[in-house]
Amino acid sequence: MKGGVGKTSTTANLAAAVASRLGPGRVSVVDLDPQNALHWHFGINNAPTGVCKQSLDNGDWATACVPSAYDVVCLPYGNVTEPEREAFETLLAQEPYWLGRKLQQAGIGQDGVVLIDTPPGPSVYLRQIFACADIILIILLADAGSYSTIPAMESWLGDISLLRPQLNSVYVLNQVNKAQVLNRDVAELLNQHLGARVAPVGIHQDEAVSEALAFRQPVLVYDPHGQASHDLSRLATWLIDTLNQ
Amino acid sequence: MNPQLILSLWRERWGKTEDKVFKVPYLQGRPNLWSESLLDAWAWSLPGVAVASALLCAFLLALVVSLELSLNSQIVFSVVIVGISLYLRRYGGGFFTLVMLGLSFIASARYLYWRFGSTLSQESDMALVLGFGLCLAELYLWLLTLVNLLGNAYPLKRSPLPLPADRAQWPSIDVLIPCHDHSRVSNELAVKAALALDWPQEKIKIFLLEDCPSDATRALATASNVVCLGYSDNPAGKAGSINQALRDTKSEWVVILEGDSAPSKDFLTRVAGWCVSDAKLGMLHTAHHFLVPAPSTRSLDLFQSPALSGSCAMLRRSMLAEIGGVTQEPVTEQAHTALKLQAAGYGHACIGFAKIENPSPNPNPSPSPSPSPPHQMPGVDPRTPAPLEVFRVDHPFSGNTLRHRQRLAFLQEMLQFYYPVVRLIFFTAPLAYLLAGVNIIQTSAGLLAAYALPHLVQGYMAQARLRGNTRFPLRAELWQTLLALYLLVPTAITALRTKFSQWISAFKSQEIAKDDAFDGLVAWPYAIVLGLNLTGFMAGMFQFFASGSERHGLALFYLLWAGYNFLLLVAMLAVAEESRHIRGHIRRQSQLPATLRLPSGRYISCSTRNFPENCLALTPRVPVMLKAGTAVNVSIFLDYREFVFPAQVASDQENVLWITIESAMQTSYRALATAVFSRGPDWPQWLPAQDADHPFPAWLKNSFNAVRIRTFDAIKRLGKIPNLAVLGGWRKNKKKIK
Repeated sequence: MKGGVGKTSTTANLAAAVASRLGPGRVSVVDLDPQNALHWHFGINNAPTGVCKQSLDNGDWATACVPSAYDVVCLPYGNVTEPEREAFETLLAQEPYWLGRKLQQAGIGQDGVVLIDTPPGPSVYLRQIFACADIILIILLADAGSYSTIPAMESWLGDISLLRPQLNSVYVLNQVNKAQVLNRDVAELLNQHLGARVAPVGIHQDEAVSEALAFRQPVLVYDPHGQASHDLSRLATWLIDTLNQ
Repeated sequence: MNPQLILSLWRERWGKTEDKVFKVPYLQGRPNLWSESLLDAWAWSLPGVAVASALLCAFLLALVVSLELSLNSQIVFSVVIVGISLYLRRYGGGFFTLVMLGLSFIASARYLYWRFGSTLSQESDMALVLGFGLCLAELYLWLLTLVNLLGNAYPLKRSPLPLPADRAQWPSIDVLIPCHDHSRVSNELAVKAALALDWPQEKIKIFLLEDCPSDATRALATASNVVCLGYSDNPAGKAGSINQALRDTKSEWVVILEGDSAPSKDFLTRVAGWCVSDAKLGMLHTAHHFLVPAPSTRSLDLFQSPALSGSCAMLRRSMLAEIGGVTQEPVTEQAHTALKLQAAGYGHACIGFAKIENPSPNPNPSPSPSPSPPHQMPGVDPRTPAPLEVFRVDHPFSGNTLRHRQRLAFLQEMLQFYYPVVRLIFFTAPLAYLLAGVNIIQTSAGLLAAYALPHLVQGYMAQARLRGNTRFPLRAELWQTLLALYLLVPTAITALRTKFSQWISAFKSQEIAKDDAFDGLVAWPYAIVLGLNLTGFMAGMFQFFASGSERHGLALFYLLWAGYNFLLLVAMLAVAEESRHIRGHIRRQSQLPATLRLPSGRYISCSTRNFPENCLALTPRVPVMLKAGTAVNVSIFLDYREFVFPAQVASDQENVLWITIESAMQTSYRALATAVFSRGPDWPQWLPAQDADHPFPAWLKNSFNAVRIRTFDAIKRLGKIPNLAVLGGWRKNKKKIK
């Protein structure tokens, strides 16, 4: 929900980690961020279409699926013009269950996991997610900026929980660096403040994540023994367990 | 220690539910009920019944032992008692242990009676002399086994007593740490552990002892705010300086900690309950081990033997002063001090829970998983010549206040010391026939088997029942035999002159220092015996084929015996050839998950190898190739918490990265070490599977089970089992309705 915390990287890397647990063909990622950057993480060059265009044409999302070399099926946002984006957002605003319906129609994630990346802040995309998701992962940095956004997020989540009380939301700390005093203290504070709503595994700050993106690979492939990969695998295990509960 | 026990401990430690599969493999069934009702019978309370039944039993025993049976009857008799034992050994409880001991006694007594009565040569010749010697050796072994079994029949199972709620009643304690011959690091950790002990601050004082204290010791004392006592005018060794320190300290109780030991945090609170509740108690030991319970089971036995291997004890000052302090002269002061306390009428006890941190085998230099003897062998005491020495110096049988069972304990120890000689007799006995043609057991092979087999099988089962949980009987046999000759020299010297004890002590430490000396020393006599056995075996083979068929049985018997010796000796030589298991670190070391931050900003996941050493070794998941002096950050994880320390690479070789923690962070690093190790013992006081025995190796049990399951499968396919299952189910239901 907050910008610049590594949402897109985490979505891509976590999807690769879950796929390494579940096997090929069972994990999909949907890019609902107009920046259209998610497919970059999987080394996909030129997607013919995207979820935006397919939705406007009222086509099947299955045609937007692009297989990647890392066992993850990617649905990019698509390269679109400004009017097209606005038209898509209007469409989404009119029909809050559009996303869920489209995924179901295309048969995506029937026997697996779909990870959806959203743009920061409240938006029509976020509203769609709230309507159909099983679990919401809120990526945070252990810094003052992230800490200051928590009240706003909590109030959104409070509103949502009136509509969907069973929806689970969990905070995931990204770029943890316990060597920095501020980072350590904020992490401690968040743990005290939010308790069990912070995921038991945080992702360590690791240059390998940035380097992996430069190489257009998930970090699990780029540096399988790095701490970030290690954390992501554990996070994937935890996520699968939580979803199965 | 077996995997099942470890798993069971692990489950208990982390509060996992006890799966039925992992339960102690003893049954609780109808025989248990019978035994209870027999023991609780009202008839026992009538006057004279106990004496009368004891007399009756003694009479019956004499009858059974002396009964002469034909070959067939003896076979039936053997099958019956072995069968009873095999049936009863599945049931738990002390009663069945005693029954098995009784059956073993009967089988062995019958065998020996028959051996002395019917198998010796009728003429006074070489065969009589040698045969009689062999019989005596067997008698000796039987006595030794008997005393051992008696001592272990009823483990005392002492557990910690609670302390009074009122802290004012807790005794005051002086902790003495003799630093003689220990490294600075181990002394430091001992002091840290002593400082971390749970006890009211005003009631505990810590003292470092050393002859002519070194600067390092003084600095350590100053840094940790403890008192350093040094007696440069009279360097009297460890015991001497303890006695001198006793004059300068005042508290009610004295705890003596070796410089290389580190008690767990709750050591005092768990131990001192006994001290408060029993006013006659003069000395208290705890087990001196972490994972291997065997060496100290002796201290828990019925005889209350003084713990010979434990060097950490809690002593009452007044009683210690009365007997003149810690004994100085002999090699093992603990045993003598305990004996003097016992002789003065005071109590001595050992509590069976682990106190000292794991003297863990160092993962680094040892290529072979099994340790080689002699000094840190799990399962078998190195048996320093202490008891024999006790026998000569202190004469426990003439001390008038010693209790009978305490005397028995010393008898047991003494008997153990002639073991080497007896072993040698067994190894060379078949040679008399094979090489010289002297038949030392004059009987038929069939009769010998009918008498000897139940004697051996019963003895083995009884041993397994009592000790099998901590020792694998066959393996213990190998180790003991290997030690036998090694101990022959010190035993002989001790038996002759006690004054040489100092020399033996020096000899021992020299042996520890020199790496290869032991193996060579032990191996060559066995190589000679092995050569003799091999020659005998060849000669026997020649005779077997050369002689007529009427002597085949006899020759075969001796050939088998020599073959068995041969196997045992080869196994022993193999053990002696094993590389020495070097314990590089006396302290428990932890493999904690860690992560290493490289200068490039990348993080590598790894684990620690020797935490809490100052020079920390890490195993990264991938080779990292760092130059010495590179600054890195290492994070160590404890549960979900992460602790970061800046460090410098010391060396990077063969996928082990050695780093030194920055000196500014040493304090926090030590604090983390304390946090990791200050937990109470992970192990419960009486281990859950402590009573389990393992007379059969696992592969035998598994293959038996496999055959059984296959057979059932086959029958099931024939369609018979469904009926049986229905029948079984019906029976069960019927029982439930009752």
